[in-house]
Amino acid sequence: MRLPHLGKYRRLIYVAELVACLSSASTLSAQSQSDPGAMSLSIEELTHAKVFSASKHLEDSRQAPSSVSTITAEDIRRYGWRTLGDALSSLRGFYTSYDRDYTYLGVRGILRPGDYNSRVLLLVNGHRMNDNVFDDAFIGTEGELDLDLIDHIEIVRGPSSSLFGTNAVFGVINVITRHNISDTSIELSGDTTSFLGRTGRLSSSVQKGKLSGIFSGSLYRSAGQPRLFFPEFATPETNNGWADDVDGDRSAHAFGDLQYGNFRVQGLYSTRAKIIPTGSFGANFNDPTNRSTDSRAYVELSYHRAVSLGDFNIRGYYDWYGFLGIAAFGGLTPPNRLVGETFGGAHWVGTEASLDRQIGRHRIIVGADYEHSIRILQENIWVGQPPYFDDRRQPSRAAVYGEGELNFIPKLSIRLGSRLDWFSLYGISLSPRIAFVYSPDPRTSVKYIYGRAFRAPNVYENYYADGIVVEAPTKLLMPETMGSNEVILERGLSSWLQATVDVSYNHLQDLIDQVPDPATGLSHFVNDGRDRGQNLEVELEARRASGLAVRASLSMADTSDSILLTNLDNSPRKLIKINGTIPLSRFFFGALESRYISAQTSYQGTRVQDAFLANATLSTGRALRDWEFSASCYNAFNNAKFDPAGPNLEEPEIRQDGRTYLFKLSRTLSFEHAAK
Amino acid sequence: MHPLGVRPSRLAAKIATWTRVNRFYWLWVLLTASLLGPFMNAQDLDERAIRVAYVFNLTKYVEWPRAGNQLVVCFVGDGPMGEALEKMLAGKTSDSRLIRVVLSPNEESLDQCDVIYVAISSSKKVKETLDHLRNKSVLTVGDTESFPKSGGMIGLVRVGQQVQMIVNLDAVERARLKISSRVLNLATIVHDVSEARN
Repeated sequence: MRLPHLGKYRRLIYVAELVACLSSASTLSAQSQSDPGAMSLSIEELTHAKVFSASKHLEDSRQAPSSVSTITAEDIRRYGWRTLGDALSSLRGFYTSYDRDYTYLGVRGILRPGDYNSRVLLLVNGHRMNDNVFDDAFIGTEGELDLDLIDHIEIVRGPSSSLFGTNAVFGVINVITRHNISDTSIELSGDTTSFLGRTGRLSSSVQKGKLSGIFSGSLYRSAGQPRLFFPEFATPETNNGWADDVDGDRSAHAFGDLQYGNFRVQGLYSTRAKIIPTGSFGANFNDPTNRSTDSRAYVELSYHRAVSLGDFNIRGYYDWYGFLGIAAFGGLTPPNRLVGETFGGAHWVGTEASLDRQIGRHRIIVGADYEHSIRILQENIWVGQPPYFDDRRQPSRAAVYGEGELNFIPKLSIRLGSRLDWFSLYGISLSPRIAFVYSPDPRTSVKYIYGRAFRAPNVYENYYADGIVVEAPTKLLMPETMGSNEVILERGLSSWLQATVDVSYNHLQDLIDQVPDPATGLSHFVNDGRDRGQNLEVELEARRASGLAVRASLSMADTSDSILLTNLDNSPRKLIKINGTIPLSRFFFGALESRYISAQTSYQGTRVQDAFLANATLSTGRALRDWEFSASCYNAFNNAKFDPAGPNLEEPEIRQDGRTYLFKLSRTLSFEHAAK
Repeated sequence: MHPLGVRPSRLAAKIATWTRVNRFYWLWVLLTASLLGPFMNAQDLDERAIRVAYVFNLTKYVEWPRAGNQLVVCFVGDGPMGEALEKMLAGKTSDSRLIRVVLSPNEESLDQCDVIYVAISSSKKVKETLDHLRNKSVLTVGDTESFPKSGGMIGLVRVGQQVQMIVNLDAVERARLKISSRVLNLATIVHDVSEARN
């Protein structure tokens, strides 16, 4: 059905919109000096009012001041984000790239082709999620946690190795799960998306005396795009470039968190399989055998206690990770057709203890951790034959760290911290950080941060040698390091409007790259890359108690390869983001999200065009107590968006989905226990 | 370079493309316009203001065994909450009782308080204060989850981006105070953990 032609009124609408914008802008400045209006709210309104506080107190006390963003459960619900990647790409300086296998995260103009997010540290409730084989941090549908279980996500930009060690190069993403404080309940949720996507989730909360917990499980399945066209394969032998019905995706998640007094046990299990339509790694194009399966699990026992010395935390954990890649090569039928399987798996145990102590106006935190990999196995086989590559390792690592928050001078806080890491694979790394935070008044702060971060070479880079494409390194691999200088100005323009200007300069050295070995014709990993990036980010954030929130940002990145003196691949110079949520009525919220990403250069040197995306979500608030509903439309204008692809793909860029939809319904059943 | 990274002519072409998608374009215009509209009458709130507003509301929904002409709100502890209470509450009336705010009262004047807001970080000191108020008709309000569990009456606890109430009914009943069901319906109810129930 077509709507009547409204062309001649269009200009009128523009004018109306402009007037609305200008008039609200003028009220904005007039209101910024007014008195708080909280006193006029009823007690019911207060329970729904949203807090905006200028200071950001992180749950993890190990954080030094940095450029920090927080994403709340409410943001996730209202914007209809499905993966961690969706949520992160709403933030200044972050962007993602999807090659229909994994989702890759770019930070401040740097997304190294072939990097599986190993330069970002992902934590769930403080537990390290990057695995011990490849250092992967999963942010797409391969992500380990249902977004519905998240209470909030803290995103710390900049080097954080001084507290967190390896991988915390561009930043730390700490996902904090929901904590049950209220009652015993069951939550059922289901959604359906374009391309036959569907998710079902069952969660339950228990609360009895000192015992409280959450248990949740979910299943996701999507048929994916029924037909995808890849011009690079447009020959009769490869189905004229059409990948038919090979974009399927499925995952299963389980999560549990039980707290009793000061003790806490948490754990998760996650598995996800994705059919790869792109013929990556030279596999046969359009073959449904090609797939990646990633599974991850952990159990952690922790104990927290406020002792006379300070806050004491200790944890012990067992982790497991397994990757299985299956790909078909050669002809279409046996015996010419060979199916190869690549396996990378690990299980490891570790422990960490920390003490956080207030001494007068100062605060110190000290800690130590130790981790031992019981086994890391890498194996390659041709199906039906014994392994042609089989490698088993048992590396360990240990670290001590400390940070002091020194407040000798009023309004100036100095943080000094350092961490010393030992790796059985190569030796030691030292990661210092110093930060000055000057707050001339409660609404303004100026921060300067210098930090050094590192990423240790992983077992895959050190020992993977299939003898077909890759050989073992000829020289001992050393850690990659990054030095970073950052200046941040944060100013509350009023109690609900906050402005941030952030300038940073990053210098990365000894980056681990795969290079060809002329002697053997194979390639191996060496420390030879050197990149630098300078960034400017400007952000305005408005949050009103009514639920209205707008965040607008501009990020500029100028990155280059210091050896080749060229601009980096996968590095858009500009990102522009505008997000807003608004209460439409007592029951409904609207959320709009628009993103502009400027043109990039792909790994193959081609130009990837710029893209504009707009998403809209309509959701019900908590007002409808038991039921929640949301409807989302992603890429509402059906604009073309291409993401640059990595070195393992023939395609320089991968076309992303056009307009897609999601409908989601959840219901909570409460069992109020006899309180009275 | 142009701020959007595209030449103005290309930008115009882009806008033209959006406008062609007529249905979604109208949705967009309506939603962006409505997005900005409510700025005009939205409330200005920071966390402290919400807490003070809670205290103010609570004074209306709590019944004291004997109520004078004045309502004395006391603050013990440190931090900026005391200042916020004084600034926003002093001189206001709650059910025709004039509110007086006393910051850091000494032990004798503690007895004259109707409401005490406790912002002490040491749990030992919180306990001492609460022990001193035992069996007196004083409404105690704190800002941690452990406060109502360790014998305080009302915890105003930050949950995500909201401030929620946790009410210890045992403590309220011990103090012979009555809290309206309107409040209880909105709050999480807990009972004493550290001691046997009465």
